[in-house]
Amino acid sequence: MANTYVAMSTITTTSSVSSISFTSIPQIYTDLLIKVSARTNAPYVNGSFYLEFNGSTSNRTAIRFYGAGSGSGSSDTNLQIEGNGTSSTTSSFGNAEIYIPNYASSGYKTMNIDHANETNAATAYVMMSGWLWSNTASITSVVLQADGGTTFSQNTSATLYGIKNS
Amino acid sequence: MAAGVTYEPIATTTLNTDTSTIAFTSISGSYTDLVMVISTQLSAASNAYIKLQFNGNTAANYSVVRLYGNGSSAITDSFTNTSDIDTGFMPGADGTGKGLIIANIMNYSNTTTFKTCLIKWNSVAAASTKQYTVSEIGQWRSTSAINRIDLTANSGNFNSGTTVTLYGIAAA
Repeated sequence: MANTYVAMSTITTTSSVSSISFTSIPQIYTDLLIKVSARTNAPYVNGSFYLEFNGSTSNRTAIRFYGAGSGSGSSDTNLQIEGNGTSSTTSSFGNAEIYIPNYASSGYKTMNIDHANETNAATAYVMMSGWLWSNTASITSVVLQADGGTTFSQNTSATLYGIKNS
Repeated sequence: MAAGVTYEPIATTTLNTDTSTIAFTSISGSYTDLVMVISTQLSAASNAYIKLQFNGNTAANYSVVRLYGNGSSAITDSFTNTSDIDTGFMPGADGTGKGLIIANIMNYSNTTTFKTCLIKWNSVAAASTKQYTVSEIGQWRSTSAINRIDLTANSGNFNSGTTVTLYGIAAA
């Protein structure tokens, strides 16, 4: 039986970089899964990044809800996915899991993202985002772009998996 | 020791006509956990729930707790003694595309515990004001091994092009 869950590519940064790119993604799978461990040089607890598909920053929408460790939860329409920034505990990296079903289909692409950071302090974030890329093109590249001119720190890593449904 | 297959597709349904119910039957008990991935838009005029039931059981043996956001507020609520797990308030005809449901059903084949599923879904492709991102837990109060899963659109049908895949995850 063919492998259902295949690691296509792992990128681990050895220096500061503004983005992490998965290109020429084979169209032979059903779904994509990206697991991320990220820290940026943003001067906050959060080190944010975005997703770009096929080189486009257009037609992206999101609903996000989250808790910050105290008080009530919150929700917004922010596209940001949260890793750790430089105001967080040293050596702490946030986690994200990005699930993209039917990435090679001809419809708009709906996806789910779990993401969180932790810093042993009163404020850190646990989040879940629903994303929509309103484009009918098959996804052939995914870029993780650090937010607002920041850079991913050394040892940030991302792995792209392909999942087959048969 | 030779490695077996850990994550295996059990069955996939891709609709080529609008359909009100999708069922997975005779589910093998040889895995430890199940994962179900649903990508769908409904023929209802607007968003509608998907009813999730196990083993054909339609009695009031289900309950749900959920946490969700709508882009401006985070909300939590719960439902008890329901006849199904209402999940995935999926986009209807007024939406722009499919919604997504990912359900993890742990320990589905054991015969000593009630069955719990951890579900996340979003309807960001729905019409504005009807877009949600949700994390929820559903429980079926039965110690029976799950051998059948039924998904029913609460209004309208699953559109042609809907895909549902059931994966089995083996233990070590």
